Amino acid sequence: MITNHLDSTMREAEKLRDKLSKVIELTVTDPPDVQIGTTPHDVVFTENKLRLLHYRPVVKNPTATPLIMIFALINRPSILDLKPGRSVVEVLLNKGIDLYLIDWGAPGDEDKDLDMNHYINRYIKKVVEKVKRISGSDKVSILGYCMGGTMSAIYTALHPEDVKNLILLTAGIDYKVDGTLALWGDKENFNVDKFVDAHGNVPPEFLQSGFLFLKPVENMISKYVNFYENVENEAFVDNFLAMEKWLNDNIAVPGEVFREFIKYLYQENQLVENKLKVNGKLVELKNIKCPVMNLIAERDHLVPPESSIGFNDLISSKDKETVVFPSGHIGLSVSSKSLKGLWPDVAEWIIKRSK
Amino acid sequence: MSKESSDNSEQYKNFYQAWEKTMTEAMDIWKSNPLFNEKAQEGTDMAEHYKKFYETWEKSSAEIMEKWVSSPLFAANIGKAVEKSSELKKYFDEAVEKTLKNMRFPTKNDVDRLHASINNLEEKINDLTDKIDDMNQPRKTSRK
Repeated sequence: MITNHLDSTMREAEKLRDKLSKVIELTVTDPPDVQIGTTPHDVVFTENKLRLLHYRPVVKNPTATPLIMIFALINRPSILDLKPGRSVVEVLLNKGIDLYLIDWGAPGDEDKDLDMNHYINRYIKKVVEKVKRISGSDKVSILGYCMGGTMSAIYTALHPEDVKNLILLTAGIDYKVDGTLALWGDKENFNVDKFVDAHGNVPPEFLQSGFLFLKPVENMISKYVNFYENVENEAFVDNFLAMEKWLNDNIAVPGEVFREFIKYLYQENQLVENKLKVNGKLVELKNIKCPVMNLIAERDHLVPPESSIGFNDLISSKDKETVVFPSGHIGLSVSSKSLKGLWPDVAEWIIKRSK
Repeated sequence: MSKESSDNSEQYKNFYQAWEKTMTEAMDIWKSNPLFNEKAQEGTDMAEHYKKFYETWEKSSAEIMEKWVSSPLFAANIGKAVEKSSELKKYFDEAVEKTLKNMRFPTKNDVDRLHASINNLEEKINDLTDKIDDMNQPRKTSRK
């Protein structure tokens, strides 16, 4: 009996050796050159590290109202255009949307003083003006993801005349919710002033390790065991490597805007309490009157659904919709389920309101 | 016992209980290993057995680790560690800055300020370019 068990163990050990060699080849000795964010585009505006990308339309007559995608200041926006077949950009372009994306770039130490006012009233304002000029449209639609969603909501509240439609994707609005990030960022536990005063910009490793520790076993063990088990599945490996490339391409966050986000939003919840001021002007969410689509990930561990779900009750729009999709924070933009079952409908919603 | 230390003991107790549960579950699976358990059926696939052991360990470990990192005790400790390391970094950076200044060397802050000035100039140039474009090219017919 023991001999049989030893035989099966040896056979398994042989398989393990072959699979491990493949894992080492793919990740260490001969990693493939993975390209992400490759949908053809032109850079139509630059300022400091910011680049405004205009995707080349694939239909004859794209929407009259252009759509600007605003990503978070954490990580790169290429998650929205991971690879052919796994790309929100591709879905929206194929449906005929005139599409722009703000790539914030990687801030340098000299950018540590850039604050929320600069991002909202300079960068986003400038981009909106530029896109209006290029497209000839009087208004733009805005799609904001995560922290980019919060900034998009703030922009729309301050400049409602610019925005035809607002689409929020896992946007943190109400920060008085339970959650690990809310606990770590709490005033009692995190002295953001001391942190920013010492570091200037927020080091990418700080945020990356924070995200890893939210689900330590899943992010540091299970993920790699899963990769090992599927290393012979080409499609799985392609997706895994593309995701890893995105996850590990971290950037710093300018210190001042980070300080304001943590202090005014996470710790004081000023946006919901109608106290947030940007450049001295009160941000009143009730000023938002345009059509709004609020997309929420049901299993979001970074921005809990409760943080976004009440947004539509705080605005004055009559045409508004909330969609809670069964996915996680990142899955909402890259899972095949959302790319097939959510984004074509989002595109239709936008097109209907972009005439 | 102060309230704080009593809260901490509660946290440790919860963590210990979760860890104990994990170990018990994983050990139960391990003990049914055909190599060590004579009662185990012949023909049991060892690979499957190890997989089951790993899955049990993974599930319960994930549960206790997530419970641990989302506990107020972890948040307070990590927050304190970040705060103290920030103080140390600031002290060290200021000492380097002061030393370089005394030696009349340009410091990192000087270089950052220079870069920031260039960025400000770029913004002004962009604004001026837009104004010139507005004057030279009448805006396209409005598409609403």
